[in-house]
Amino acid sequence: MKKGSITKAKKNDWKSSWEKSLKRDWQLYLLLIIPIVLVVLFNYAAYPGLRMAFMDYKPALKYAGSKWVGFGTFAKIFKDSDFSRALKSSLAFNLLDLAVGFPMPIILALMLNELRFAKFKKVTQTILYLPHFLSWAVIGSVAYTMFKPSTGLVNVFLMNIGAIDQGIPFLTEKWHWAATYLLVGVWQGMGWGTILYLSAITSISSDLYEAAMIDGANRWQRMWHITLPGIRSTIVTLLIMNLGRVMGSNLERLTAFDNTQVRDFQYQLAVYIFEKGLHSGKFSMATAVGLFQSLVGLMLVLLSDRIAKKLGEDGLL
Amino acid sequence: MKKNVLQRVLATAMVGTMAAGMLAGCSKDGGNTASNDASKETQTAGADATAADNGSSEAAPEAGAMEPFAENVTLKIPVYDRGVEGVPDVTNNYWTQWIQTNFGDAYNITVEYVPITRSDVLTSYSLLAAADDLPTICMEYDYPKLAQWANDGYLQTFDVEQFKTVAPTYWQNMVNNDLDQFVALGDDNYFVMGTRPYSNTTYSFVTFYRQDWLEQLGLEYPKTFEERKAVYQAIVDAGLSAHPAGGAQIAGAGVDQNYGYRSYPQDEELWATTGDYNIPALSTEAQKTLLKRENELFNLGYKDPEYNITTAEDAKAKFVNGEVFEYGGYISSNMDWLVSFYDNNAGADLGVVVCDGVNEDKDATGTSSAAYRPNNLFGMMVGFSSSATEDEVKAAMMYMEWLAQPENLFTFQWGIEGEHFNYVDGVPVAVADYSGDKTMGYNNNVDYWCIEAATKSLGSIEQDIAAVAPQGLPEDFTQDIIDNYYGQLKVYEAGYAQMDCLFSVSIEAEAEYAATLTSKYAEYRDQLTMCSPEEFDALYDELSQKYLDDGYQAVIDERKAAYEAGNCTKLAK
Repeated sequence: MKKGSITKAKKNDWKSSWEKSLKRDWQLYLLLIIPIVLVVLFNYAAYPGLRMAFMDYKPALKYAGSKWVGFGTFAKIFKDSDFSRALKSSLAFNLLDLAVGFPMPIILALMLNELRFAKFKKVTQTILYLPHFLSWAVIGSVAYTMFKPSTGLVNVFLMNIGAIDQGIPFLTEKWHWAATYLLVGVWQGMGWGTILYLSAITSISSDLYEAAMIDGANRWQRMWHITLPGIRSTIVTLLIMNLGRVMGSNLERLTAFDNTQVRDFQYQLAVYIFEKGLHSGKFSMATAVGLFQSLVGLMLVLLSDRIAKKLGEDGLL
Repeated sequence: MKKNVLQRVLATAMVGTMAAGMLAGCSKDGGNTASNDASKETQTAGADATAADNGSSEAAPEAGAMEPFAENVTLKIPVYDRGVEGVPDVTNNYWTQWIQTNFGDAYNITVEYVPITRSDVLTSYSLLAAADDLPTICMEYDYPKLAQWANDGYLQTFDVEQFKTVAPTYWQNMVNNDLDQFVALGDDNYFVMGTRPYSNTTYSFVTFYRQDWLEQLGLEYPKTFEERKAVYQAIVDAGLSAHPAGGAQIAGAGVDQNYGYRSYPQDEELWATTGDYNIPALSTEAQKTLLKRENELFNLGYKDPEYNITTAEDAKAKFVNGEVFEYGGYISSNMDWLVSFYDNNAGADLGVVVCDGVNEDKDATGTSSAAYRPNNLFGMMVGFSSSATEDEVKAAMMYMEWLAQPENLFTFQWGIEGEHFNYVDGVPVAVADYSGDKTMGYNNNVDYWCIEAATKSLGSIEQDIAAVAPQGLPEDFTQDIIDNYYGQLKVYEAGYAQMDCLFSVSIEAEAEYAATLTSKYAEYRDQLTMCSPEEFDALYDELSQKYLDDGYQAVIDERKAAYEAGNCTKLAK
């Protein structure tokens, strides 16, 4: 058979298999249109707006009337002491968030997987998922009610039982605030984070567990030698994705925990973008910082993906 | 087979529903179904009412100036959305429909109201500008915001002669109140503005204090800082309150005003460069005195130790619950928090702080007096959007003129006789507990008619205060509020209440740094309030320098240049 006809045959095979798939799963493809449209609309359609970062953009003058300033906005930002303050806090807290928050869903998933009473497991899972559905505004409000230094429920309780003489400034002293902020973040996200790991665990063959049990492996050994290696690729994928967010920060979460005594730590890039950018109508500045965040995030993802592949993992890309 | 059909139907329905949801999110609100009923009756209600000092009856629109448009014109008017409970949807309610029916339909104009977040006006407008959806008019109470908008291209210049022709009543009101001097920024005409009756006082902001506590302690309301500390100590000693000074976190512009801590007569350059209320004047002596006293009250335990994480609403709740000595707020005929106060504190007796003159007070911390910030001469400043067409600008002028007519303005401000108000001795008195489908917007629709005047006015201060004094309470504060007005007038006449400096050029450093400085000030002032008294002076100097470096020096320098070039108002001698 000639080379051209092989290619043609392959093409025809691919076409007929694609047609078959489309015919069989057309409902799924139809549903897929919605997320694709959303991604195109809210991610790619916004790309032309990136030029704002290189302009002195005035909303009322539009792109045509605004001046090009090259990298002027970036230069201004990098010279701004508030930017370096926000950058340092963002990096520190995101790395801490990663260090504290990333392992917790894995540990929790392993523990949930070991629960033998199905009903108890389901109830526990539901309770653990609930915080994910609370807005940060609600969580922040509850946290202040709980942790105010003089009138917060926790401090009042501790003082009433004589455990402390003075209220602990959980949210009004920066180091205490850092711990509270991180732990509340873990509490809010860890239940929801278990979903992917639990689903990965279900894909591990039960034969492996049975064989290990026959060989006399205890629970801890089964977890260590079967479950964890079984979900390793999921862990690596999620770790790479999380590394991409090391430059980001959640304005809603930071605003919910805001007060003037903790600005050293609370002033992160999201706050910088809002206060100095959007709040002052400086869209160019907000876009420039956003672009900087995205580029650094992309570089981190590419770097960690390459490292993962060198270590023998599948990676993300 | 049936299952497959069901799956297909469900899948199609889901996609359809989701797509419809997305599209609905993109669509404009088409739910404004103006009701025509009862609209005509409202137009005549109160037609005999006076229009205060507006002198509006002299002028009438030139023939043809108020003719209906041949083709429908859409007029977009901004309205503050304050997120206040119990207030109808600001963009679609009985009163917006009333405007449409009585004004819009008559002139072939579709009136749309655009919500503006009250606490974040600049962001609201910049987002609208970015979306190419600015309302036909842009309006705000603060001159620097309008100057910034003009500078950033939000506004178009307008033809004053055309305005005089289309909106002669509105223009005459401006002339009668000496407001036509503020029309230009630089060489171009940008602004028209509503009136502000009694702008030289702040009579509508009233501080209520616990008269019953003072009587129990045998004390008078304090006039000096030393007396104030003595009153607080007596309250604490008597177990009436742990932290009688209360306090709340500061937020937004206009915080920590230092007018009462300045030296008078003021130095004109200092007044021009650091004397405004939008950017707190950290680094000045007046601000130092203000904060030093805050620091003392905090360290003596009179201020709430959690004040910096207490919202304004929580601080009000503490007064309502009887935990704090005094609390201030704007008065209206229906003040629910005062009603709650009396419900919670049976037998309590409140007093109103009455200004009785300048009352200078000197002590170790510095000098203070009853000086205050009078309002601007004008109320709402109005500019026309740069994206508005000629017809839209004309429609906006027609709207302002129509609303300037006494009968229209009266109805918008007071509502319908027998429902929203009743005449008592010839004076309209609001029905405090009106509830119905014609519920008025925040503070008697003020966010709609503010384009004409900042407050309602019946012609005399006594009548005006009587009309807005809180009602339905065990005590009547009307006379005290009137006395406070006259006391403030004395302060004004003594030269202790001067309007902020207004620049006829845009101060770009204000636009650049105002938001940052407001945020930094909140941070620094709490550090200064909470530090030990021994640390205060050194910390004040350190943070003042940082504040200047954060952009305040740039603001001062630019203002100084404008002042020296004569591009600003002067301090009244």
